[in-house]
Amino acid sequence: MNLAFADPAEWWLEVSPTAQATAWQQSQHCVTPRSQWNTYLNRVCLHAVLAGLQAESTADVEVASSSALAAVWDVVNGMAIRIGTKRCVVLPSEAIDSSELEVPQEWVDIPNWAAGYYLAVQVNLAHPSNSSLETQWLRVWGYTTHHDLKTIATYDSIDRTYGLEARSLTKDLNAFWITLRFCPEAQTQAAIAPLPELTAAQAQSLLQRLGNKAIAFPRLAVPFTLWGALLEQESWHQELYQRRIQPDQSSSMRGIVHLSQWFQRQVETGWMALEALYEGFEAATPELSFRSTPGSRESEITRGKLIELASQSVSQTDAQVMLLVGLETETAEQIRIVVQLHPSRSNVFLPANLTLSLLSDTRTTLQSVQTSEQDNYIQLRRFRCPVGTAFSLQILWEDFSVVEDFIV
Amino acid sequence: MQFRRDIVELFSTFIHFKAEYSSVWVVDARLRRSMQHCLRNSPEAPVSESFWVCYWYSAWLTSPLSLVEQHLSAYLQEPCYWASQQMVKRFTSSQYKLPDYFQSGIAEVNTVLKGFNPGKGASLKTYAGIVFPSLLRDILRQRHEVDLCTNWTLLRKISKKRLIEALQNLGLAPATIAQYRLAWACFNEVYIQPAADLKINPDQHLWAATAALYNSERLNQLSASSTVSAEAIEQWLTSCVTAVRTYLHPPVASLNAPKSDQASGELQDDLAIHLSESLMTEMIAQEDDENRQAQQAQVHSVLTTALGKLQSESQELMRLYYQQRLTQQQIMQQLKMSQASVSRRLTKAREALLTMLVQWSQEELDISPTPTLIKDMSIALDEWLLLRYGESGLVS
Repeated sequence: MNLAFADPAEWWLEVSPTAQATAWQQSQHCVTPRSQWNTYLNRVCLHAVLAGLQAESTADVEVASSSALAAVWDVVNGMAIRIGTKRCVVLPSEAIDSSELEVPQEWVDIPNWAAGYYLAVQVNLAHPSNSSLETQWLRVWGYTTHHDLKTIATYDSIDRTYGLEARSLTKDLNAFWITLRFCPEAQTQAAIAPLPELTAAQAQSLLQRLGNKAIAFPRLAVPFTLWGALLEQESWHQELYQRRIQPDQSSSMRGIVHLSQWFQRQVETGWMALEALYEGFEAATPELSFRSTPGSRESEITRGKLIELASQSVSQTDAQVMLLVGLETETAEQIRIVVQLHPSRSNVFLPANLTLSLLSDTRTTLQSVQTSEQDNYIQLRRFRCPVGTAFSLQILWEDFSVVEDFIV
Repeated sequence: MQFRRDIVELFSTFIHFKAEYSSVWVVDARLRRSMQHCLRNSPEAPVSESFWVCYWYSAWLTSPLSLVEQHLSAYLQEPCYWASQQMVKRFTSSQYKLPDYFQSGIAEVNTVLKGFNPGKGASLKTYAGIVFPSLLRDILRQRHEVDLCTNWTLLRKISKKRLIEALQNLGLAPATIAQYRLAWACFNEVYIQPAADLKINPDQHLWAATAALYNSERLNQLSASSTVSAEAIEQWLTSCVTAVRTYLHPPVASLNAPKSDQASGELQDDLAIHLSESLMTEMIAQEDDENRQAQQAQVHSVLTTALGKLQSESQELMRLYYQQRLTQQQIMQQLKMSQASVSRRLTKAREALLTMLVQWSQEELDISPTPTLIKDMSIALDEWLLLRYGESGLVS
């Protein structure tokens, strides 16, 4: 875009060739060429907007997606950020006519996706493999509120978007900034109807159907209430993404870990004894403690799995962690479980701001623990489970998330 | 360029370009008759510009007939002319000339009228003076980008809204438009930017893939339709390209040519306008409101003081951008600054002015800021910028 057209009431943000190349590199692992391009545009936009806002603002500016970004960009355009206390959705578009702001319904009608403000961004990027990468400009040219989207925008039921004409947007980004500063409490969100709660069975059937990457428009393939309810639950959204990105690995193959069988020494591939995991690093081998019931060591077993944290996000190098699960028979029908997360052998500390959560079979978070700056391990509170119970463990870090499913 | 004073002329004459920079006022006979008719029939009405703007604007709100819009279009000739002149000054290397800008601008009168909010302080003429420059800048930016697009990249870079408008402009039936639209959505799913960038034109494979996607999606996204072949898809999308190009680059119609006399028979019907009395009274009250004018003067003095408080470098940037009408690129070259810092400092300078205005209203008028108030202040700031740096004749 040509800076000659820049106006002081808009934000023009610079994207260096390096930033473009980096974003492209980080967008290599996507489901389809289309979602790859969408991921690339959104990533460039996110970096430019975060960098631009962080330089200008005294308020904290951060990503505020409940779902991992890679999973969002696989199926929807746009991203949520938080400026101070306000949630804002940033919507990049390649349209050169800037005639309207088009907002996917997900960002308006899913309660934990909706935001107070919506920013229209024009992006014009060339393919980064072109040798002649140049500095490009993003143009943030207008904004609106959730309230206006719900009251004056036109809803298009064919592609499930809310479209607001350019002249109904506020085309003064100075006013946006000042509104955030002077009216942080302004009520800009309209009421939205809650989405139905899916049962685990419903969710599984949706995931099975939509997890097929041959479906070009998964967001339009089922009624919005079902689709929205699926995305609202972050771990289901993540599972959808996992299925779409690994189409050959169906859920039955991906496998549920059967914990009761561990006592018969039938352990799933990938789950190793600690001695094996820490071979050559004996001094550092962690011990999982069940000391509360002495003498029961016979019935104890601990296994660990190496997990790659492949974050595609801002300036983080990838890391490995070890997920350790220890079991102890309490009664014939009930076992006690302890879960810990340790750094891989080469690291002393876990990455900061990593969350380990215990989820129920309906993917409700039962408990979670987050790492701080220098944790050499974290641990969930021990829990008891009757035989037959299903649960999942989730590791969330930056925009990376992995879920392991278990049955006792 | 002479200002018009006569009340009949204000609402019935148009600028006509004889050559690039030479223009005259030309009377539209039908509009003149209509205006004279109204004046005769309302002897009690004041013969003032502000009254008749309110009259035609409220007429347009209640019944947006073409005659009414033309009266307002005649009235808004000056702000459009000044905005066009700004464009010529700022974009010196552009292929477009003053008449091109003027005609593109005056074609957007409807947009100006729709965006105008009489309750917000600025008069219609001032508001047009704020909006025309930004509309013209958008039009030029868009044309600039369209010119860089090949046919197929153009399809990828057009909004759904514009595509549909372009197809409607061709006079296609809604069902056909729906089919074209789905074909376009499928095409965008298959023809990704990298291919477009590498100048790979769509081939038989691509049309086949688009058709396959269309055929699998049509049951979900279209109510009733039959399957299509790859050839048909190619043909549809070719039609879309043509429609979009024509729509974005309309042949410059001589919008300023005097209207013919033929339609004189409609005059009677046209004048059966039901006016919203209360709105008109309100608008006129607003125009003449001394408090409002006093407040406007206060706002302007606050902003003049605020400008003086900016760093001298920021003041210089404001002057170069708003008064000298340089582009940010030209400013960058002139001041040997980076593009990013020119852009950032100008935005910051404007933001500082708006901030001081909001703070003033908070402290002096004891109004706590709301998002709406801030938007109104934003218009007040634009109005002041127009007055401070621009054509004073536009601010009433």
